Amino acid sequence: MDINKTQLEALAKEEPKKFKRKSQLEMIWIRYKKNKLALFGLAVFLIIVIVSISTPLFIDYRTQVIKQNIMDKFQTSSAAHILGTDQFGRDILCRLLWGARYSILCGLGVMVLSLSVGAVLGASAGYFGGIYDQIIMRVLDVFFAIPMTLMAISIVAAFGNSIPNLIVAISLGQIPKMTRIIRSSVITLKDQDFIEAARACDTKKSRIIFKHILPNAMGTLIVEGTLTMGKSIILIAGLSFIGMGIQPPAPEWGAMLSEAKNYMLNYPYLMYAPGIAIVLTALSITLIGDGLRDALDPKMKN
Amino acid sequence: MADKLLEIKDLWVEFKTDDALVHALNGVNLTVNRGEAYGLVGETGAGKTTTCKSILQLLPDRVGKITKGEIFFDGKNVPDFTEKELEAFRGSQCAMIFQDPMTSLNPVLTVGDQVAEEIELHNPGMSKADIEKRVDDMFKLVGLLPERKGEYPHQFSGGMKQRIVIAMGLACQPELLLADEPTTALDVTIQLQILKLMKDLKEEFNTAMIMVTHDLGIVAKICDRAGIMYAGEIIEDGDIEDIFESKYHHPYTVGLFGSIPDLTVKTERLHPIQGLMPDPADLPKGCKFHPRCPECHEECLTKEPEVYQLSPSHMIKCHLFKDVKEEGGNN
Amino acid sequence: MSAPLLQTIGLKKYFKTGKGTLHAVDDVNFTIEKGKTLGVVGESGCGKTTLGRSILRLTEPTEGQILFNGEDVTHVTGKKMHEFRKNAQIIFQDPSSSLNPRMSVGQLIAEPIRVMKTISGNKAIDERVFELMNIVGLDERFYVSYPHELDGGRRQRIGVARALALDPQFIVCDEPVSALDVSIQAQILNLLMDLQDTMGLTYMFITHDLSVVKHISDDIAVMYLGQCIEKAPTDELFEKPLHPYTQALLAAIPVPNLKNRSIESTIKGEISSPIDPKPGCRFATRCPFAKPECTGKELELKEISPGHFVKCVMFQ
Repeated sequence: MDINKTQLEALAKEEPKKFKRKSQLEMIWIRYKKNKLALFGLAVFLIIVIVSISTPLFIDYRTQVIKQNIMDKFQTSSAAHILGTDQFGRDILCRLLWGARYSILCGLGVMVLSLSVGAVLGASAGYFGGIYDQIIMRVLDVFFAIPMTLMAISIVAAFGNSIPNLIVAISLGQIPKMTRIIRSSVITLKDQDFIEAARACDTKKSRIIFKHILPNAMGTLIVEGTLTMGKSIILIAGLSFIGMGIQPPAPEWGAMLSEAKNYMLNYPYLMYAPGIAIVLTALSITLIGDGLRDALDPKMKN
Repeated sequence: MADKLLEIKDLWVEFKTDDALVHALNGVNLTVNRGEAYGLVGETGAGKTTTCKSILQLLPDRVGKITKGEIFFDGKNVPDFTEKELEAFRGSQCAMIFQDPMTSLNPVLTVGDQVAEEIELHNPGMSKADIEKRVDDMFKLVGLLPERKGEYPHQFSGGMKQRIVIAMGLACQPELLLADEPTTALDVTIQLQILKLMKDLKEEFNTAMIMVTHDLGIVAKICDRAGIMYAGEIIEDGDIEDIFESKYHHPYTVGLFGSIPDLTVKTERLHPIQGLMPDPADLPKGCKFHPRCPECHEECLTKEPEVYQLSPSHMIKCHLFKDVKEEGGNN
Repeated sequence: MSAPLLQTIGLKKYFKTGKGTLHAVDDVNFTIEKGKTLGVVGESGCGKTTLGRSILRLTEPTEGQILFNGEDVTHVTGKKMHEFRKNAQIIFQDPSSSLNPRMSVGQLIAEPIRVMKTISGNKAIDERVFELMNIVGLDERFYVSYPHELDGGRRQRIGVARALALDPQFIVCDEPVSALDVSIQAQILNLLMDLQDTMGLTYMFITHDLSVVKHISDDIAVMYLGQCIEKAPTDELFEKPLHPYTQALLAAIPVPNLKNRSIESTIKGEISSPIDPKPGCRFATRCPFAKPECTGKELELKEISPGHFVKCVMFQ
């Protein structure tokens, strides 16, 4: 049925709807912004990252972070030392700011390593299935059976506690979970018609996995990745706390906590700074993860 | 004179989402008489399911709201019911069966238990033996073996699942059954079996029915009266003869008929209605159908059409029918 | 007469299950001439979707042959498979799940072109995408939209555009309008028919809706439990259905007029199991005309009148 005259006139009077081409990143950011908690998390995290990168610019490691000033020990808040000094007279604030470097570095390292290995293993196990899938899953089951912390401790004990070792040790604990989660995402996705459509034009398997399947598992990947980073920051602090991670005098937050526990009764303030730092960092990362997952899902109504 | 069981008067329903106000129902008027099957016809987004859910007060809690209008069931306004009255109303006076039999049944309960639950709820104090007997009776009624009542939903086919759902809906012999596209998900030969079942049961129990569907063929087979719904309003309403045999129709109704490939007529191309159903958050001014209407004229752009009765039974909401009257009842 | 565009000979697809062998497609033979449409109708479990997928080798046939333009494509791989895929495409039923939610309309339509490398250079690819969007009636401004932002009808148009991207000769339409509203169905059907006229496409149109298939098909094949039980030119099938199942199927369609309001269901019961079916007619358990001769021996698809084939004891 053809459009009639009245409608034509009405349409002509209508303002042509302006259509601005917004890039996908812009759309994601717009959606992300709506979540106030996520914004808070992002702000805090950015501050921490900036701090961790820029500390060498205004703090000298040798003189301010590890040099001991026994004369100034156990000082509480003052103009010279905003957060006070510790048992060796070292400025807590300087140590705290420097300590961010370890957490961020290791956290990022674990996230990247476990995500990439987990994504590849999980996507291929899920997509190809069969014997290959079985083998991967059973090997991972073995890793699952070992408690993360114990595994990390054993690896560090065996191979030493350098930062790369720490990253690998903690990643090993995260990879099985990551793989399993991605695998189930992939299994759900691979039966969808749009994968069939990709096969209908002879798309190579690698392209199907990387261009069609993984982007749709993005939400899961991002959330798991950030949760992993959050977990690993706490885990590193924990390992350092028991002396298996980063060793003093390095101002890693867990190590600082470990030293502080010896003076807990008399000088409790020594614990506040590193403790709060650990919690704040892990929390902000988790909030970012939640916010990103919601923002990345194109189907979420604004 | 027909006996009114359900009377919906000027019902307006809104859904408040984060960034938009969705006008789901815009002044719905609908009457269903006792023992009568009313066909509610429309496409996706017309508001048919919302209407049914409103009757049972099943609108999503904070999001959906009846902003105006009344729903009279047997003379009483349902939105005014207390919790207790609603409990008694739902299931035993008015029941609903949904479109997808796959998701209507609880996968972890046996089918017998699910039907029994329905009976138990509305007959407190009924002995277990009596309930079981009733379950068996219902199964036989819908054409299923009572021996299968201990099985789980996944062990049945789509058509059988829908029979179970019908058994649940009719277990307490409600006066009004709301059937929301009950056969859409079924094969056409199974659909015929289910329609026959529903027609027989309706006759046996004198149950009134609102049959929500987009299929005019189903309406022709099973309904006594029908209403065409568009953008939250009923734009045409009448006896079944009015809908299929009158020469006067709302342009949308004409379009609906024109979109259906009729088996008995040879046509080269179908005549679909151009355009799309309007966004209920952004409805057109004046007549809501005007952007798609081939008969659109000046008045339609700004003025909402009133209800025009072409005959005591046939109503059309369109400016074209201002003074039109059907000769001698129906043509 | 030149070779038909598509021909299947003894096509079978069986699945191994825990309970036995599932005969999804069982010995299907048909031909489709260039520029024509074969409608394949049947209810759930008849195997029509599996048939469509098998012909395109999206699922590998267990037995039998597929001939495309006279060439046997049943086992081709590599370059020949590439050629076949360029020429034989598919439109899916569900416009929501058949479009990658993370790709924009433009990317979706361009994807087959990028994979097959039929056009090089982003500018040229974009031009082709806009051309396709025009052909299917999608406004250019939707180039950047995502599928979930559009309604079912527009999404299905994307599916059609994508199927046309490689300029195929043959398209399997797997229930392309079943998930759409009636008025949108009509729009898409008209579009498909217009495209067939202008581009000389050949269709295999799979559906459960007989009224839709009548409109668009030249010939119709009726399937039941994996077998083709009747095949005839469209008009003849509707005027003179021979197989009891076809008759029941036609009778079951609710017609939108008041001529016959009684509901007489001639088919009883439910479809039998496709696992390890016994030889003979698979419809016998539900057929009102069933006789002892119906089961026990495999039946032939016999040509009763020119182009009209039936597989039934009454016509052996």
